[in-house]
Amino acid sequence: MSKKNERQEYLLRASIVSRVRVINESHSLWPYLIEPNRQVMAGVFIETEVHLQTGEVVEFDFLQKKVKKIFRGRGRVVRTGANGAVVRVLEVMSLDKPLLRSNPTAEEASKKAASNQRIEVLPDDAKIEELLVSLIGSKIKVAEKPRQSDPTSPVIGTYLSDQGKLLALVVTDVAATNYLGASLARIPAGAAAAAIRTNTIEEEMRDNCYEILNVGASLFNLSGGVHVKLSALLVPPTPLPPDIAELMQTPRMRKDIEVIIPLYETCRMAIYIA
Amino acid sequence: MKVLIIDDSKVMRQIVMRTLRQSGFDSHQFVEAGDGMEAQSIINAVSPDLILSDWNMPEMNGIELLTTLRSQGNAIRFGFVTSETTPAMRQEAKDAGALFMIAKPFTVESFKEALSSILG
Repeated sequence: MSKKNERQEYLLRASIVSRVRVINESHSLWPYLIEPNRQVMAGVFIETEVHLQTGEVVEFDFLQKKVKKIFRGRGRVVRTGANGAVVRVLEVMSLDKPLLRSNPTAEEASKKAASNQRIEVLPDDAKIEELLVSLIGSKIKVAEKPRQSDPTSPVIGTYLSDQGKLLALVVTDVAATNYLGASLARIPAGAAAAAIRTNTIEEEMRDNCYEILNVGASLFNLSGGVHVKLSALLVPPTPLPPDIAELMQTPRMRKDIEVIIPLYETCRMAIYIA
Repeated sequence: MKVLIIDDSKVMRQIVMRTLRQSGFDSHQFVEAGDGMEAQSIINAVSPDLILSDWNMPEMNGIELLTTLRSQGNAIRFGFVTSETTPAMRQEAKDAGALFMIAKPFTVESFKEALSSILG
């Protein structure tokens, strides 16, 4: 746990936090307060991919490096950010356990995901870039960006598990669909630009974007984990089904990226995980 | 050699052909089909030496096509190029007589590895 600033707000890096979960239940007092002065632990910023809401009560396990023990904190979320949340700590106790790994291995995450019917890990930039380069063939660059507002006319790829459960969305816009579709078939950028001016998506561009997102299912399919398939590509003006609208509002994890395609334009996309 | 590329996506067929050329197999003749049903008539017409087929397709999918060919006594060399590559599917493909399964997204290297002994 490192001190972030002089206002007694501490940073719990993801590397020392092994578990974060929402509990929202009445809490009992624990016997082992490790910080006699609660002000010291009054506010912590927890780096986590778990999507937290202001007001929720959460539990989090973390490694106290000085004493080499795992402690469990409990507190209320007072503010959320792109990489985690600020939690006002209510209690801290020692679990008196051996050191835990801070992050599960990929295999452990896969097994857990398969049994839970959910995706545990967001695809990383390098994997997304590798996929797009292999399909489109040019020197595409992918970079994570701060969270953006949802497009007014979203184009949405929906991913379902083999049991039909909605697990992920890839959300982009009309411009990106045209540029990605054109670049896949090496259609000149001018054709995409003309379609964008009229806010339309030709069937060929839609089909090409579908192919990219179809192959993109591999980004979610870790070996041994939950298996997903692209189910549909929704294009404007298709009304959003309620389950998709809900996932866009309250994803468990979200990642916004920009995709730079040489000779075309920079495209924006976001991945939503249920 | 004649290589039949079967995929319901036109752009994916183009990408497969582009990758074949980039892999050094550009001296071969490429033929296309959009699904297993269309492929059957092309197979009868041109007798390809190798089939590269997607798995999921309308009308007749890749594994149905392979099973049909083998049931007819056709031993044509057959491999899958597909985004679906679960262990169960790999086993099913192998049991049905497929020589290889290339996963999408694929690379020039994965094509060379799977195809050099056939098209080399």
